[in-house]
Amino acid sequence: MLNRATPPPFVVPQNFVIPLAVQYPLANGNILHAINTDDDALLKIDVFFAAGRIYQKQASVAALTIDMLFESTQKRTAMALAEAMDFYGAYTDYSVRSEWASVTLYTLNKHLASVLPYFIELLTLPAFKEDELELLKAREIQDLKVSLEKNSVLAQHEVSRQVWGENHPLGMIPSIENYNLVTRATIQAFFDQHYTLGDAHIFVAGNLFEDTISVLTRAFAIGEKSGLPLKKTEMVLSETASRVFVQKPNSLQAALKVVRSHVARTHPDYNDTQMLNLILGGYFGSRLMDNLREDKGYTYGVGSGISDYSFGSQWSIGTEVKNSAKDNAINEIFIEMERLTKELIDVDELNVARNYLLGQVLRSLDGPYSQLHYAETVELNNYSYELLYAGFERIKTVTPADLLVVAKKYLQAKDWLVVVCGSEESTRT
Amino acid sequence: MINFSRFVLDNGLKVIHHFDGSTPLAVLNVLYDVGSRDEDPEKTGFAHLFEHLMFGGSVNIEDYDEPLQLVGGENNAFTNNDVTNYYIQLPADNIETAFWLESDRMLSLAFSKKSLDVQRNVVSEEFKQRYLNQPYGDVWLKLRPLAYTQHPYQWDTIGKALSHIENASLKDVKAFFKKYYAPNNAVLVVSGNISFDRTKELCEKWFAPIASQKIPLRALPQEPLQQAARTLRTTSKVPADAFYLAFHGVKRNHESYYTMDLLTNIFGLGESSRLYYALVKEKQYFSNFSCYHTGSFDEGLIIFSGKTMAGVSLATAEAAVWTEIEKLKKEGCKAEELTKVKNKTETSHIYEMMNLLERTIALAFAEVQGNANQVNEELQHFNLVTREQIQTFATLFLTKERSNTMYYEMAL
Repeated sequence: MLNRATPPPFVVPQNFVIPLAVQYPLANGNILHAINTDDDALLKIDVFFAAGRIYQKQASVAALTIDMLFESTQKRTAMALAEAMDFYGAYTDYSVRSEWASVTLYTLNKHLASVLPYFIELLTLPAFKEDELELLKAREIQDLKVSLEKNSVLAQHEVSRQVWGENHPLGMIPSIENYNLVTRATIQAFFDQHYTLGDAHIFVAGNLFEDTISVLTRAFAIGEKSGLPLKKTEMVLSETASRVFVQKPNSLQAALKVVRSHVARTHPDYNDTQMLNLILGGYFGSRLMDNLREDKGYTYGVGSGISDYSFGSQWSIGTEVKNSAKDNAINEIFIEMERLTKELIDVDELNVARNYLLGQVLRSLDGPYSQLHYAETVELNNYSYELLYAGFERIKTVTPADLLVVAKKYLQAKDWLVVVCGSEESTRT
Repeated sequence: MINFSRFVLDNGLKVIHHFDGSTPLAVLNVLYDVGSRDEDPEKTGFAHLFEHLMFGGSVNIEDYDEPLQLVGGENNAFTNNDVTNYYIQLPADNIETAFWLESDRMLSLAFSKKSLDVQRNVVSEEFKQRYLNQPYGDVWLKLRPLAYTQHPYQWDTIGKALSHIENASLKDVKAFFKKYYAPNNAVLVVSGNISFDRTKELCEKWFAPIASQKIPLRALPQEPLQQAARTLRTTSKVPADAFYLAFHGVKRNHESYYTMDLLTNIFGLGESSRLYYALVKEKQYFSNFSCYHTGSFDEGLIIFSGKTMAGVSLATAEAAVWTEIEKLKKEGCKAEELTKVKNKTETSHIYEMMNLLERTIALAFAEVQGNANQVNEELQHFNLVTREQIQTFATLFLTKERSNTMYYEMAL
């Protein structure tokens, strides 16, 4: 008779290999970083520019500049450009983060030589037409109005204001007034300063034939390397963490954000706090998920994570809860934090988290695009591979006592900012 | 080309095996042939609520998630109008844990009162978070009943109303399980770095002992051919007016499905698409515009939708959409346009199939509709579509009499 009560035996993944990107030098002194896979017909090309929000002097400039790359170029209209790239089945994508802006091209290998000139054109020869900028701003304002109806967005804006202040580039909140202040000249200047292809970080993943590489290295060897120094910003630790309430009448749910400034990935405590974060709210089996969702049914979900900057990180917990349960939910979040500062984590609980995270590492290294992501993280942040391997090793060895030490250091209620966006007069202070 | 093998256990469970030796991972996916279209009109949202309860412990295993996390695995599930799908992704060495967990909850659930109470709350919060407390979140709750008068696609997966979820009883839950959760109503796909022999052996060990059930034949009310245009005006506290135009399309298995898909892409995929260009860039009536279809197993919807720019009336915007539709019906599409959307489809298909989990789920969806090999035949079908077929399809399906128009207006 089959025994269904006893779990089957298992092994924990122990060995991880981060594939190294191959570096191809370009004629202008830049480098192409490549992850070669055997049988993938699709190429992914990522181009990173030091053009994130941290470099802007005015809200939304970084985002509008990259948006405008997909409008008309000096050679052809936006429609003609889109049509030319779409014809070959290419897809483009882009993102602006705090420090980096990136543009991505997906194309089948067989169309690379046809598509690439258009891609290079959009990166290097934007026309920045006045009428297109005005229309883009009008569309963005429309989208912004929709976003401003969302409690979670309002709460996130308040977090940025509190953590950075409105004069800091990362604390500048998009608003209708701010959009209207952005001019064509501002965009052009931001582009000229931050979008030099010679300074870009260029990555490709896919089945790289000799032809593929030579097409890519030739196409990207334009523009000079200027060696513009990267702007370093100090992390502003909010000394007086506080509670802020944002009123949004008739909310069925309240959005909660509980946030602190945190150490950089290179800090000796970083890896242990990643494990602590996982146990607190970082996965489905976390204490906050158990408490707020599975035990009390306050929410559809709660999450906690650490987002990295080159100069530090931000640790944040976020959830949307039944409006009437918002005070209780905040209480429970701090109860769970405090418990981690007072009691040793049970070894079984730690082992579940540990093994889950090791499985996660295995998943994060699977497939060409995940491998590309590792190569990019290392290159853009100047991390060593040793740092990443040490992080994997630490998952295997960290103990409940180690976690208690970092919990006492980083999970003190006084260091955390609470932002609530929901209905009614105020939360407790 | 996705290689796979197929076998059926004595209890009726269909199994697909797909080997990929390039990954250290494996995926186990169970698709149950039940979705919100199978629900009682008085108890909607049930298939989805039930999906939540599947994580509340099974007959021999108290906790579903923890043993999986302990072996480095991850899982999730989703429900749509047609099916309910559960998947586990884990280190291939530990695949047996996935067999153990999935087979036990197919055998029977724990049916705990506490689990039902909590998940009713969780789903209520999901209802609020995704449908009620979001601008435009309730669009589908309004559009479905407008477009469908008979077919159960008239309600969304989350259900018609919060009360249906709040009233669910343990008795209802047990009856639902007995009716639909059986090996002969499911497709199991095992993929990744696991051999065929091992898959077969583990299927025999864990799933073969589960008894089959008598599954009711699906006899859904069919939607009659729409004879007259339907319209709805609704207001809500949103910052911009929005326009929705819906037509009935063809079933997923219909030979014209690929024509319908390419047609919607000609209208709405990317910045060079007809409607984006004409209505967003040229006329500047909309801040965004999309055209797509729901991809449902039964006759789904073809949707044209967008938010209008401030100062543009919905009537003006609507007339402009119709101008573009009529133009395509009259003149057809250009050869380059058709090549373009075929090329786009090829890229996105290859992109999706690069991912093990996506491949696995695609195999399950294709198999439950009768032919797992559809995943390999898809691109060929797209390639055969002609300009004439595009024009004919548009002429036949995109007519005033078969239109469902919704004005979603800002409350003043």
